[in-house]
Amino acid sequence: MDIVFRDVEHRYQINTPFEKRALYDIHVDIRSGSYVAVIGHTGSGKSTLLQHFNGLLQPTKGTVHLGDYTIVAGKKEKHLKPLRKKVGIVFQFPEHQLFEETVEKDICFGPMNFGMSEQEAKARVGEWLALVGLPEEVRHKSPFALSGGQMRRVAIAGVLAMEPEVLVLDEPTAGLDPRGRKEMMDMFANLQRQKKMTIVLVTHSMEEAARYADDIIIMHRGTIVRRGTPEQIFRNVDDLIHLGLDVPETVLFQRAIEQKFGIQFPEPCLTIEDVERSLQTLFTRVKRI
Amino acid sequence: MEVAVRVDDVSFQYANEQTYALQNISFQVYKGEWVTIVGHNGSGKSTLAKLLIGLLPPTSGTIHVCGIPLNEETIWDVREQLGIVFQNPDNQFVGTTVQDDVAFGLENRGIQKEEMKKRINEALKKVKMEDFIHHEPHRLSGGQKQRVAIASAIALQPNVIILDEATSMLDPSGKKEVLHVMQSLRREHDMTVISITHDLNEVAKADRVIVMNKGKIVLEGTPAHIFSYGEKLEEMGLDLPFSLQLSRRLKNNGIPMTADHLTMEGLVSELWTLYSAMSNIVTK
Repeated sequence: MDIVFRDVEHRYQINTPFEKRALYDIHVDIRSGSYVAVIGHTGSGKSTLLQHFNGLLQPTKGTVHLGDYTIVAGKKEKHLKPLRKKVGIVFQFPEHQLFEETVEKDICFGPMNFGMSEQEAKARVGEWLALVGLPEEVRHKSPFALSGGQMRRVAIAGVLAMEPEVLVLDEPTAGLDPRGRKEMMDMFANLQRQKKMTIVLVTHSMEEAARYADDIIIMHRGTIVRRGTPEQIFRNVDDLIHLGLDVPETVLFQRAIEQKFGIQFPEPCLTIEDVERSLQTLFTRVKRI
Repeated sequence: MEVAVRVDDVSFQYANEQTYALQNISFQVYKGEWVTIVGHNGSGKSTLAKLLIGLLPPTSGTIHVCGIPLNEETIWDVREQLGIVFQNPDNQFVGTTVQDDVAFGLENRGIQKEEMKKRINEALKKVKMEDFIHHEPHRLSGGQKQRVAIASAIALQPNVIILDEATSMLDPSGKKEVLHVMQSLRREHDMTVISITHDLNEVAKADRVIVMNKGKIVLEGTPAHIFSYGEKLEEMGLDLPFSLQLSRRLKNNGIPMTADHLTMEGLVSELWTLYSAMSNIVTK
């Protein structure tokens, strides 16, 4: 499912003294099956943007195309239920939305709501638990008896159970410990590869964006200011700093080395493995001279 | 040195749980000190924070805050000494506007109106939310909400502030700003900071670090001392600073590093020394 935004604007509380323009001039093209990271300051419009991905918010100007759906500003779109099955949004702290007595019931709630029989949903719970890396034992436990990280996985399993084509994630790793964060990010990367899902990740972590995304969108004060591959985005370090954004440590380190050694690496180092390889090459070369 | 928080042999068990969430925890935090508590999810850090503010009573052991023993009778006196900011700001709003929300705690303490206004403005300015004074907290973004929660805590000018992953929803520059505000409050008011976090930059700035694992304190010391445990920290699911990780990887690749570097400057400069030595040998 391709996603296309054309000249989208969103104003909150329109025609009131509190009217606020949260988004403007938004043009987005997201290819089906790609992995896009959205980064930007708090309040830059990231969360407003992602609520347009399944029509939770509708544009106050412009057009949003989501696969076969077209949402046009000013026309109230009513039949959005099938769309919401296709686009799963995992909000910040999704574990706060758990409500059922057991993990099984909580995960089945979504698919049953979209017409799956209880029998089928229950039969598939094991599969969904495995997708998010939870053991079968948690099935009959209360979700509230689990740890924070496990609760978040249950909430995500509930979204995956609707078998969305697009998975939109709003800071899915906030508050997790480093191991939990890495496991969760690897899980999303797997979903993209194995299930050909489109992933839209809203994150503050430049490291996550650099390591996992095919494409990066940078938002600033309600609009998109940069768009490109991680290599393109992180080649321009000064530009990022100018926008008040952080630079991945790998890129900062690369810059420090380049300045000290008076050399230039051909590509930006986006992961610690990239840095390792570049230094390895550098030191092997000097040995060979 | 004056002790701000003293925890003596505290254990805690949740009802219906077999194991202890906290086991024989003892430590002291001195006035004006910045102590960071780290540990993976479920290590008992947040339970400890709840005990410190009297939300949960210890199963055994005692807690003193600014010299006051914490118990049912003294809980309100103890809370006057404390400010706490939790991870998820949505759970801590009471006011219908940002201003009302920050005012809530001040009103509870019977602060005069003029003084209250002054403190609200100052606190909101410190977290860069002064333009949002009449906004509804629920319409703010996640990061903005967290700033307001922080403003509400600092407006009370507590002797001890507890940050329970309070910066986890902020972007990197927001995190830096909040840490900066905390540092300056610490200097101006001799405020004590207990920060529970996964953020390595926050850990590196602490005076002292306490590492928790499975409800126990397993390590305690300066950030440099703690990071020197390298793999042991990784086994507990914790991260190591980038420079340290890279130093170790390079060593494994046969680049003869002499130290595990905590800073990027240190690492770059040793690499340069090694590199120039190697190229000298070769040219000779």
